[in-house]
Amino acid sequence: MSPAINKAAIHERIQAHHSAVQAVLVRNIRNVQHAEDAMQEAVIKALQNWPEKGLPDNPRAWLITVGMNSFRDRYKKEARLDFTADLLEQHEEDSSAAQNEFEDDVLRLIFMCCHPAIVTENQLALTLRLVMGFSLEEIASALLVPVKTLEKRVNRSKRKIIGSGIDFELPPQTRLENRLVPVQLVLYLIFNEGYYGSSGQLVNRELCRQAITLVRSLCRVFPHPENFGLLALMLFSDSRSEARLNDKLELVTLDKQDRSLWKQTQINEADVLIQKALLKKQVGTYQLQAAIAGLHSDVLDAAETDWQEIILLYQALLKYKNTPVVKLNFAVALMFANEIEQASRIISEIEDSLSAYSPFYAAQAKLFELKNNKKGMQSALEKAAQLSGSAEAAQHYRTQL
Amino acid sequence: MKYLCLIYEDETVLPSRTEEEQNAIMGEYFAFTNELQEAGKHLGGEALMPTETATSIQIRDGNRVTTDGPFAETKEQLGGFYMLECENLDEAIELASKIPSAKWGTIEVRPIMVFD
Repeated sequence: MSPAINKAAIHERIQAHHSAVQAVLVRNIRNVQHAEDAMQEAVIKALQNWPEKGLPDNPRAWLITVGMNSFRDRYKKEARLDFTADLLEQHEEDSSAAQNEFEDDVLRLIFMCCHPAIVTENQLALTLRLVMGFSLEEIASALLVPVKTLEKRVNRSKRKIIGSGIDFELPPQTRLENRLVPVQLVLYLIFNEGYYGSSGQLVNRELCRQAITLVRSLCRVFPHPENFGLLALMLFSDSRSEARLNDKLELVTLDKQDRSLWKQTQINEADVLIQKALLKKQVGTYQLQAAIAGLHSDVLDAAETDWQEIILLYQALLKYKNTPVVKLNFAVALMFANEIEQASRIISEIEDSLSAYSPFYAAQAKLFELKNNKKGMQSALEKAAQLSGSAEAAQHYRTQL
Repeated sequence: MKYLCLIYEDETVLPSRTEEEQNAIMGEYFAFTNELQEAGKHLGGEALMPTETATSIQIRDGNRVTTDGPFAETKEQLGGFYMLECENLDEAIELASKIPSAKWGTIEVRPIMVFD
């Protein structure tokens, strides 16, 4: 046992092991509700014990053992199953094989939470709860729903998993196509939640880092080109984290960022990943988005951005994902390429569907600026500020007024 | 696990089908049922008479009330079912999506409750 440590450090430690511990508990207990209860017990006991006694040598094994014991005490009193010693031995090896087993279990848990028979928003909530270990309150505030509503949805989804025959297994290749898409989407949404922070906090880099780790193991087990595209996309975005906020914690747009702050190692890795993925000739939305992000990342001066190439990629992306948000990004690219007329047409086309979306008004402000319409620009910036979820982003728009 | 696949489709479309169209659909159903039986997945299944033949029954205050018609008036009606033996929900969904009516109607997959 190491010396006593503070509460924040303990929370961090628990968080770091949450997904692996929860996944092992689901595998052993085979009931997602009981496994979640066991996890909660283990967390409570850790918060009680660790401040005084210090961190155990192997916190992950400690949490698994305590979780299994609490489950056994509650449901299997009569059958004193003696798996504790086994588990401890199994989890103390620190080989990469053991690490891969943990990662595979976490992936099984994600595939379970993201089963296509569960509504997308519930897949996301379940993954945030079971895999990422967020509290219902935190998830409710991030997804902008009342806690009671969220709790109902999460419980309903857990009952669906338990009752309908959704396995804790990685899907076979033959079923991968249908199963992979929701998993990619949920991991993408989790990354975006960390990156854009709809929940009042602008950036949660830890969340981004966790999403990247999960997609890395997804790539290891299922080397599908879209998984590599998703990983590349996240790495390109994450490489800019240092440059996205200035000293006053205000948002800095891509064209004004200090590009020397971009993490070049991440960009290089993402470049290799996306090139390899595109060679497989199974293009998809994540690969196209990554390719677009890559074109931004590969130039050190914003003025040298290859907007024509970016426009071509957006046109390709729109064939797969013809959504208002993609159209909005396309319109912004058109503005930078001086295609004002076409940009203007798209902006008015999507206005109704994006009337509650802060970045829409930021783009509209840019368009008014290009058209020398000061009044229009000001009212658009004001709307962008009002609608933005975070104080930093609101500040960013107001400083431009 | 056992799953009941409920087949819902708009029964008013039926009379407008030509004989060839109807035969083609029946052929698809026979082939699919055969496939299920050969794979050992088929526990049962039937087509139902149209809802105009349905009678709904309730006992209220000890009295039997019969209603001429289905339980609920809906745009698509229960027209038949399969009872399947599947490894998990993925397999049930995979088989259910091969039911010919899935192409124009809706298949509801319901796990059978196990009492233990």
